[in-house]
Amino acid sequence: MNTKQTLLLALVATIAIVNQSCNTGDDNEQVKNLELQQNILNDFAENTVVETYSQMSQKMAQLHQTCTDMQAQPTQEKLLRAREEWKTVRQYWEQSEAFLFGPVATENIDPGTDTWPIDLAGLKAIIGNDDELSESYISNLGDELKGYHPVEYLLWGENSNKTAEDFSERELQLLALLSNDLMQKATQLLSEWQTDGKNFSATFTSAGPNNSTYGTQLLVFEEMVNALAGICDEVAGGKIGEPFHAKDPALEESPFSKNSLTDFKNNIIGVKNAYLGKNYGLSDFMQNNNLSLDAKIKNEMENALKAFDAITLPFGEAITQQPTQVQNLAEQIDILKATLENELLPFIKKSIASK
Amino acid sequence: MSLKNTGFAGFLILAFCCSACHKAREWDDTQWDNRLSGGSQTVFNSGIGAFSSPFNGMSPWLEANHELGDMHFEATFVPAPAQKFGGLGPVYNSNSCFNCHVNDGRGKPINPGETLKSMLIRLSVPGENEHGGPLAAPGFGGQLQDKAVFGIPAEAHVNVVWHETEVALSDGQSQMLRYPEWTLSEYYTNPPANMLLSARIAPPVHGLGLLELVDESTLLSFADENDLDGDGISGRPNYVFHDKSGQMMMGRFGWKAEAPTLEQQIAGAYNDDMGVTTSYYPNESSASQLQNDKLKDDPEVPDSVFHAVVFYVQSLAVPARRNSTNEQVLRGEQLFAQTGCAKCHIPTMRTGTQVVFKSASNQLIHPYTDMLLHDMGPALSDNRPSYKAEGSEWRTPPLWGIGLTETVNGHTNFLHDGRARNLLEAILWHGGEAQNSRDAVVKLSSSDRAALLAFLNSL
Repeated sequence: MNTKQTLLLALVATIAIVNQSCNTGDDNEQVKNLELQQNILNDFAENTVVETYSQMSQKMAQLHQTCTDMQAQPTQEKLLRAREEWKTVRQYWEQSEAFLFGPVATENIDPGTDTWPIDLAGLKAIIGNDDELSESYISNLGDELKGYHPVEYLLWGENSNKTAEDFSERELQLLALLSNDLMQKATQLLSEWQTDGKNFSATFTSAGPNNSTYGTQLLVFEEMVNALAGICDEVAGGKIGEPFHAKDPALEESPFSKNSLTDFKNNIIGVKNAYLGKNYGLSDFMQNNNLSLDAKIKNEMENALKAFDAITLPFGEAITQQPTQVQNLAEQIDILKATLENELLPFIKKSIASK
Repeated sequence: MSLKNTGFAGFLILAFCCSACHKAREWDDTQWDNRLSGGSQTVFNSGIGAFSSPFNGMSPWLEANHELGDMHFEATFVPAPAQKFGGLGPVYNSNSCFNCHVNDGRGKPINPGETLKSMLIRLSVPGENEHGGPLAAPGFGGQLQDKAVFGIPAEAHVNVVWHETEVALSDGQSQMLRYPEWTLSEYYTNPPANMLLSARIAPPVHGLGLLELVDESTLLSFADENDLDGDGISGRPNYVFHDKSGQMMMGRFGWKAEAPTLEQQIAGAYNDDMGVTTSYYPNESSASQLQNDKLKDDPEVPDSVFHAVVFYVQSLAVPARRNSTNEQVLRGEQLFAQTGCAKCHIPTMRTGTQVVFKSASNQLIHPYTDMLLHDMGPALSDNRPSYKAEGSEWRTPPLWGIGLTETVNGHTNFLHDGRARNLLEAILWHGGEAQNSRDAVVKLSSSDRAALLAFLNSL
């Protein structure tokens, strides 16, 4: 062996050793990540999705109970309680819009739940006619006559100034039936994910070659991140952007209750909850692998949430009277969306093996 | 370094010099990354939004247009008159594009007792209209609207009964198949005798813009109407009436290639599926029926919105393939060709030249369709002719993205009426020109059949 060859051999050996030691480190890191990834998915299914749907379903049952009580005897106290309960159910629904995938989309549950706009003329016609109202009558109605917003209309009235005395018997009957329909959908949605129901949770947490929905774990993570970016896009561009750019309050989503800004804020809170997780979240993965991006995302979430505080008027008025604040809000949410889409998603794609 | 080694190094240098002075050759088609189903308009998204991504490389102006269309594709219509989004009905199938094409994907049939959600029934009576198309059913038109706005009668109610049958496969295996029996009830008026029904699920809408850009000559080159090559497969184009030009054109879209352009397809969907008028079809679908709203509000959707929705569909990208280098998938790809599937589900073609929208121009795409009509046998026939398409003739549907159906839509119901509950069932329903291919699949060993399905799921 001449000197050159010896040197070469030594070099090769060194490289091999260095590589080897790096690999060992990587492997450990990878095992740690794999464990964390599974924990994140389990936590997301159980503590974010099922928990949110479960809360929504419980609060919806309370709202339905109050509506039934109102039908027996309407009082102002019950009406105010029903309105608060409607807002609470909405809170969970809007938070759940941070994960608009799975059964809520594929089983056509969203359309009959949160259709906007509604057929106001049709709703008034039903209130005004003498058709016999029943559960089957309600289930035969089109989606544009069902869901949160017809209930909202009945609880608040077109000008948001309804009192308990204003309710006709028929409106009370319709309210009880529509809230019942909404309750059944909330129950269905919960059951679609529950482990003792149709158990989409199992599909979500068991990605792999035998899983026909999610062939790889990366797909599940992409699904989560895309949903987060998707709702930010929807809030900034659609829910806020469309009425704002058209300067048209008629495009507002929850006009009767004047709850739109709360709705939007709950969307972003939903994004934050989903990102942080309860025990394990995407945030934990990022803290292990890209601390600065994690900090950036959290910071942008806070900026978006803070931007809501600057708006003091109901959304329908704010779009014309507080345009700077509304624009800033949309921009902050857009910034968050861009980071989720252009930085978090590529990072996840790079870091999670598509095996 | 030995002399031999020196010689080798010299050879390398020589080779390098040679290649350096070589002029660039045309890149062989086989050298493209085979994951890129939509050419440069492929997206790497295998989640629920896999069919919903816009084309790459659009100008901000086109992007804004796409987004406007996206918003209106999802918008819910309510009955007119209304402050916003008025125009639904009076009779309709769905109140938004999105509710049938959920996530820009595929609709599904119903179980007994359910109401149609993402499919519809085409109607006609025997005979042809003045353009050779289906003859509208008096009192009902060319499509059944099974829903109506509040206070108005729907045209009829749709009922289904599913029947089961069993097919024996090789290796002692078997597969259950189901087929529907559609009936109508609760007619708002007496239906004509001999009314013909054709049930259709909503097809996925991704990649259609690329298929619209494929030159007609390319598609016609796949045709073999008289089966001159004697392979038993005789694809032919449908020719349908283009309402905008008043001329006959090659049909491309829909289950029987009954729409020549996406513009006409979408205007038709607004009009028939949702009861919404556009400048393209300014008369309500129920204009001659008692459900007519008699409002002078047409077109209910302005051109700016209509064109944006057309552009939205035209600019939806195609998801990339997954696992395309997996051994089983590669084996399945071979079998797909060997069993003759690829004779109609043509894997590769090029889009034509598009000077306005360069990023979709001249793209090597893998749609797995020839866009032509084929006789699929009596078991799939709807017995309802439409232009050139006989009852048993259907247009080869594209297969790109088909493996993502469950992820995007939560089901795997295929074929025009969604009768197939998975890809194998869909294959087993193939008859007519595809009988030989279907029989070949039946005879495959179970591991080869699994490979074929793995290939389809990689698309």
